[in-house]
Amino acid sequence: MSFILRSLRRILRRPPVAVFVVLALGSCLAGYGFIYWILSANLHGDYLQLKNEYLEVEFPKYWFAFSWKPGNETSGRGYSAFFAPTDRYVVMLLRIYDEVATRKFMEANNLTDAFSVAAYEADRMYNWSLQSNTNATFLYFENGTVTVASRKAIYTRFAIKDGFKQGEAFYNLTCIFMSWIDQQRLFEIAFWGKEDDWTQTHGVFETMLSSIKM
Amino acid sequence: MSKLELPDKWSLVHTAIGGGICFIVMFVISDLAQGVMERILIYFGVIGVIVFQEQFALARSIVLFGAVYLPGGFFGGLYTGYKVEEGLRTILAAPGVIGFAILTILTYFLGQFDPSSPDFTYRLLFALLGNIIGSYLGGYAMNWPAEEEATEEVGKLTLDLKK
Repeated sequence: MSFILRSLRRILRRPPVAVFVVLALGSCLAGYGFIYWILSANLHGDYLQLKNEYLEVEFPKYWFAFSWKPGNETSGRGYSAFFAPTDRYVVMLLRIYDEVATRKFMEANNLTDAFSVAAYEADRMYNWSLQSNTNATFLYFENGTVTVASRKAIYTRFAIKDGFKQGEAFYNLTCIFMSWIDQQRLFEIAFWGKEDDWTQTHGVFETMLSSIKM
Repeated sequence: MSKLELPDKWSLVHTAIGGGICFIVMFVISDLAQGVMERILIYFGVIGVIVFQEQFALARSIVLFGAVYLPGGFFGGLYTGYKVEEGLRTILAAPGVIGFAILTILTYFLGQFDPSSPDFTYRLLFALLGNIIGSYLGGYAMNWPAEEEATEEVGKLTLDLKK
C-alpha cells in the first residue's frame, strides 16, 4: 500500500502529470458547471422553459427532450420537439409546419382540415402498433375541442388494446392527438404511451399544454 | 542559420504508434464518457437540459476535452515520450494530430461526421486541442522526472554517508 502511495506521489510530483490531472478534472468540473448554469438560466420551479422562435413550452427537468428542424426550402420547413420521461413509456411530441410544409403534408395525405389530420395520425399510430401485434384492437374514446395557446384545437382520444409489446407481454396504449391550423400553418401535439404510465403522467401533460405559447 | 534535423525512422514509427494509442484510448473512452455523462444527468434529474442544444453542445465538448481528448493525447504522448528522447518539442505534437486525424476519418466513414450539428466546430477544436496538449503533457511527463528523482537519490546517499 505504501509502495503504491509512494509511487503515486512520485508520479504526481512530475509537473506535466499534475497539470494533466488539474486540466482534466478542471475541464470536467467546468463542463458540469456550465450545465448547471444552463439549467438555472432556464428553470421555472421544477420545469425547464424551452423558448425559441417557434414556441414556448415548459417541461419537467427530469424528462428527456430534444428538438429538430425537418424539411428544406422545397418541401417546406418545420419544427419538432420530443419529450419523454426516462422511467416511463410515454411520449409527447410537438410539430409545427410552415405554410409550404402544411400544404405538402395535407396534399400528400388527402387531408382537408385539422380533424382529418388528427384522424390520420390516429390511423398511422394504429398501423404502427399492428406491426408488433396483428391482433391489436383500436378503441375509440372521443373527439372534441380544447384551447391550446389561445387557439381552438381538435383532439381525438383513443386506446389500442395490446398495442405495445414490451418483452413478451402486450400492453394497452393510450393516445391523444391534437391539431389545429392557424394562418395556413399546421400545429400538432401528440401524447401517447403505455396505459398506466399515460394515466400517471397526464397531469404533467396538462401542465405542459397550458404552458405552450406560439 | 540552424539546420533542421529530421527525426530518424524509429522516432517516426514510435510517433505513429503513439498516435494509434491516442486514437484507441479516445475510441474506448468516448462512448463510455458520454454514457456516464448521460447517467449523471439522469441521476440528478436534469436530463432535460440537453434540449438547449447549442449551449449543451459546448458544455459537453468541455467535459469531453478533459475526459476523452486530453487522456487520449496524454497516453499517446506517454508512449512516444518513453520511446523517443530527442526533439520532443517538435515530435510530441504528432501523436495528438495523428490520433485526431484517425478519429475524424473514422467518424466520417461511420457517418457520424455532421457539419450541421451544433457541436461540430466545438468538438473538432476541443478534440485537436486536447490531443495536442495531452500529448505534450504525456511526453514531458515521461522525460521530466529523471533529474528530480536523481536529486532525491543523491540526497539519501549523502545522509547515509553521514551516518
